[in-house]
Amino acid sequence: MELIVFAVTAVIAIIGAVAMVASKNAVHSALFLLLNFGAIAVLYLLLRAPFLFATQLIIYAGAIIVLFLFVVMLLGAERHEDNRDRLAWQRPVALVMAGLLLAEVAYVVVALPAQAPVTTDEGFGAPEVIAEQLFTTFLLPFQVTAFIILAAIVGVVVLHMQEKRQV
Amino acid sequence: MSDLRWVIWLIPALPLLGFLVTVLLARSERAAGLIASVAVGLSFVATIASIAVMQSLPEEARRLNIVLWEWISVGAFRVSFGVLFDQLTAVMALLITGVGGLIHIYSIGYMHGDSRPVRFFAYLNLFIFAMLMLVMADNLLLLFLGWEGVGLCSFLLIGHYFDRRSVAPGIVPSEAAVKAFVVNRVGDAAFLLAIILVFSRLGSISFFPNEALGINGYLERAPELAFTQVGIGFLGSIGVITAICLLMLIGVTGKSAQVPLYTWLPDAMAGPTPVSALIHAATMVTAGVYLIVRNHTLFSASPTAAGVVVAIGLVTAFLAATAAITQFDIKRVLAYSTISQLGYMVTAVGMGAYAAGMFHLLTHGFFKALLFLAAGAIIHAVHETQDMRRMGGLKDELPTTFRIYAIGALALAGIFPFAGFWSKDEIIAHAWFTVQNPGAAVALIVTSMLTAFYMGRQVALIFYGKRREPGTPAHEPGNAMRIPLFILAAAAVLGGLINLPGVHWLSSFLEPVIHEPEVVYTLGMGILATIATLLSIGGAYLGWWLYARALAGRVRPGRDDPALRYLGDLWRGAELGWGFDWFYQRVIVRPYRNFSQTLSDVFDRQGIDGILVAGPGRILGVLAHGVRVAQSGFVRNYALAFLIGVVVLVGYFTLAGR
Amino acid sequence: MIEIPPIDWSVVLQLCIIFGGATALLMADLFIPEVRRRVTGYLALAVLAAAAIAGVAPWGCRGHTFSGTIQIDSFSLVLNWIFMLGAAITIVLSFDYLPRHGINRGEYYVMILFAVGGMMLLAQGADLVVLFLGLELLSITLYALAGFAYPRTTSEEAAMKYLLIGAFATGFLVFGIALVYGATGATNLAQIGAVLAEGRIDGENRIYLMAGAAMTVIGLGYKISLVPFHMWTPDVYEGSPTPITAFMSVAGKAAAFAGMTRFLLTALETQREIWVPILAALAAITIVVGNLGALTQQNVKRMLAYSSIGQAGYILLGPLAASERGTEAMLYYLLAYTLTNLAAFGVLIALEARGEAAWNLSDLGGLWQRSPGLAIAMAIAMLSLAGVPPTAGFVAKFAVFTAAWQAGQAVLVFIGVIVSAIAAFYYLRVVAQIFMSEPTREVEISSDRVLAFGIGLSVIAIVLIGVLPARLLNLI
Repeated sequence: MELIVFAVTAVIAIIGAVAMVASKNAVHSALFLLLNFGAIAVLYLLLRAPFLFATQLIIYAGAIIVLFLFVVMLLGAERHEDNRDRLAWQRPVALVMAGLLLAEVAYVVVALPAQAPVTTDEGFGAPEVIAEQLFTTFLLPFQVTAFIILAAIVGVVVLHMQEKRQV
Repeated sequence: MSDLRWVIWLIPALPLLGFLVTVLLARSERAAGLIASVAVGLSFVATIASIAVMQSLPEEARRLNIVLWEWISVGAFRVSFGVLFDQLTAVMALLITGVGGLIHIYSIGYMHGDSRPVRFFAYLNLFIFAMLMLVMADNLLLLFLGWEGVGLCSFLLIGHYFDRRSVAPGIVPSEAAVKAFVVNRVGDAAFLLAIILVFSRLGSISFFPNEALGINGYLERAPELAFTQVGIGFLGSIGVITAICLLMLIGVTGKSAQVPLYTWLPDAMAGPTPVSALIHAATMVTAGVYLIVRNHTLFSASPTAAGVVVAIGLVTAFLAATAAITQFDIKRVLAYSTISQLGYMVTAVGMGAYAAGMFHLLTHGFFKALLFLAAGAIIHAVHETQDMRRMGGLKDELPTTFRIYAIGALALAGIFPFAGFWSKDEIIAHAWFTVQNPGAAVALIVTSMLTAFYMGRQVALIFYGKRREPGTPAHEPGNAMRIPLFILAAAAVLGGLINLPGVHWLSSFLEPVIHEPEVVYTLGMGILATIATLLSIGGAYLGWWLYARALAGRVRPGRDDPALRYLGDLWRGAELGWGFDWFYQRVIVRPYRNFSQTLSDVFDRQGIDGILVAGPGRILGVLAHGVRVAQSGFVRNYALAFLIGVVVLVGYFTLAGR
Repeated sequence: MIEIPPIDWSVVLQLCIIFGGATALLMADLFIPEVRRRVTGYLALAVLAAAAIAGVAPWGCRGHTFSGTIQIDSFSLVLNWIFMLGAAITIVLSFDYLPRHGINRGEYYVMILFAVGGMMLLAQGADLVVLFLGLELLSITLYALAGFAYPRTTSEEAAMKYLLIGAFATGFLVFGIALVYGATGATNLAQIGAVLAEGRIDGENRIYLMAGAAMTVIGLGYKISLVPFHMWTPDVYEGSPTPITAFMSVAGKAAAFAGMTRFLLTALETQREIWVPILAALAAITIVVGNLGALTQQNVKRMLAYSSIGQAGYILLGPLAASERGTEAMLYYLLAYTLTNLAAFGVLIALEARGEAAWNLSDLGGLWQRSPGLAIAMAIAMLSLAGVPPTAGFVAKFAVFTAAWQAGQAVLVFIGVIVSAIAAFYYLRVVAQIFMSEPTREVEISSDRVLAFGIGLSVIAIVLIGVLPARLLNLI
């Protein structure tokens, strides 16, 4: 049962990702990204990480994608961009490289006999455990994140105000 | 007297002070020249005082070493910032400050009316400082500081006449300056590797032990490692000492303009003539010879390396002499002659004739400085012309200069009893008798014939016959230029006295440093010297006769040399310095540049070319801009390169780390 | 009830000062009128000074806190000082630049302080998560700062390119950290090192670990402009406001090196045989590509960007030596390079009139006649970059060369020495331009005292630590 659910969601996630990149319309891209995020959320659940499942849905699928859609529609950037390749050799080389990288990943995953993964406790990934970690082991990173967000906000505001002043 | 040892650091400090004062305070040509000359003059006095202090000490203590501070000290790696004063340094310092001082005084006259005199004298003082640091350093790294420092000053001074588009045909001063520095840097890179090798194998880079600081000296440890090998990749292995010596030798070929790195020196003649005299004849270019003499225990411990040194010296001496024959630029003749004479010195020190090498270094310093300065007087007299085809017949117009030039030429040609005779003869005698290498001796004698020939040719072209390009009458130099010329002329005549056979002042003075056995003179040496001199006289006469009599009528401005008809390609080859320059251009410089250009075409073509400026992107706000940048192709290009790196790194790590 | 573990505040005192100061300054700036904007800058300098002084007391101590995620030792203290020095000189160089370019905003200084905070996290971090967050904080502030000169489209383009490639790199870094965690069950560097030392990791987990290590190296390598992750560098350096370019090229690079060294020498110490060869190869390629790229540039700012790529290759020789000497050499190199590049960019700033870039090689023509002080400063900076004694650049190169030589990297040293000889060509071309040519056009030269002070200070320091490096090297 688990395997079937995994296979289906994994295929959906991959399709969503590929379609997002391939789509020429920005709105479509955003929607495919949403599909991908949703599928990944299910994968988290399969991995018994309910907290991640929830945040993935609420923050990524909920907040971020909605924001994306807003911005894209507001700015009218859904028009087709002229993306004629200026460098013709780029695409084939990129494809070859992507193939190689895939081969490497496949090698890492397949080539060697599976081994017992790092053992985890029963509650690993549970909200309470994550909360405890955030306030004990990862207290400092948790605090630092606040400053990252502050810096990002200041940066965005400043750039925006600069723009306003000039126009 | 022992408390007077501090006087030695005055020697380099005074020119440095002179440099700073000139830069900061001198505003007029007069002040700059005066301050700079006084600084070097005082430094000369300090040198003499230092020698007096040194000689007053007991014999075993005659090596003064004052450490100012510890320069680098990381674990076992300790380098002092200290000055050393022993007999070898004393000789070099005397030459540098003595000849340097005279050239400073000469420059007051020569550079009169120049547009940037303050700069000129400041650099000149800085050069003297760097050169003194080079010869007074008590370790290799500090020596390297001076070594690079003189290169830098040479760079700055070669480019002095940047606003004269082209001093000699086809040479742009600023390009010649960059060329000199970069060619030298190639040699310096090898020298730096030698220093690293010395440290890692011999455990120290100080020449002599310093008990006070607990630093070892590496020179005395050299023989221990005579048989140690070091691997050089697929090429097998090589003796450690040999490797060090060969790397140093590459440095020497750069600084002392030996084959194959000599190509910068002829172009360096784009600088003012006093600079050519001081830096590119008398002092800086001899740094390589000094380096070998200072490290003679290493070179003596490696017969292979010493053999290569001799070979390079001989080839250089001969090739440069042939090249000198064919030149028409008065300074280029002297430049090639300098290369050739440096080849002489390198041959000498390669053979182990350290005292003879130093002797020739000194006498050459005298007469080559004299020749350059006299050439400067001639160039001035004929209104900044350097082409000898446009001179001629100056004997009557410039009688004093003529006599001085003739003295220099005779000394260079090695005619008895001028200074060059004694020093050159000593090297030839060493080759023939002491190391029993008649081949080298014959090559040296032939070279000395060629030397005599081109000096005969030059004197004939400049002073004999008729003025080939009539112009305003030439004028003799003023006093500031004349007095240094007289002093140097006297030195060129009497310079041989410092190491006369049988007396050997210089050899015995240097003995504590170079440990060379006394040479006993035999009849054979006398005969050899006589033959060599007669051949030189013959060469000189031939050169003079050909160009003052036989072919004189066929030398005209803008025309090729009449001898070209008889020698053809051989003459052409010599004229181009045997094509080393051409070779470098074709094989190194151009491909390198093209490769770099190709790289930049492929990866750097776009730069910031305003992808955002074009198109309606501007009104769409940041996100749309971002899309546009992302789509520009170039960012994808960057990401592609990134991806290649990812594939390689991940692939390597997973495969290697399995 | 979660019990918060005890915290040793002395370990994070400097960080607290920087972050607290930055936040306070952000608010204080609201009350400072635009004509007095310099006051914000001076306050930022005061914050930096306070943080620097706070680093004196713990000198020689080692310690960690916050459950071992952050630590303090002489390595991180020296680096912190280098960051603060770099930031302080950058601020000094900006005083005149910002109003001249119409971007005189107080947030500029705040962002620089935030960036310094990020750098310090990279230097002090003992946990991959902290390293990652430090790098992110640094990156985000630098994206914003790169785009600070908004009306110039090149600035905006630079920010955008930086952001795109940076996001790309971040993805690899996070994935790498996840893989390393998956393999070892730890994100703490020392714990990873301990697990690896026990040799329990084998089979599949080892492959995961290696893939993770590779990606972590990539994420950090991008920041130090390691080839082939370097391609953003010339564009971003050219487009950013010049003081920010200077800041990025020195402090940003130093921080990334700090993180890289920590990761390689603490976590992957036992895997030396694996990472040394590949990084040595990349270092060699970086040296060659950087110096080749610089050769054909006519734009001095771009030339310096390529030169900074080449210099990164040289600095990498330090960690590659994997010895105390190597780390010392790297720290010295970073300091020397910080001073040198700030001086060089400082001169460019002085030449940069409003809205007009004077970055062309010919714009430096005859600088000696126009401004002897700037000419000498630029010449010394170029000589230091070329590694000519007695400048700091020479001692730095010599230190990394000897360290790498002793670690058996003879071939790498050989390549480095040869390339540095050839590199003299393009550095010297600038010097030749300054002293040996006539001015081609009049470029308005800034006469700001503070700017001159900043450049002068850097240049004096270059010569001073070149002539008297012993003290400093011992200190490190």
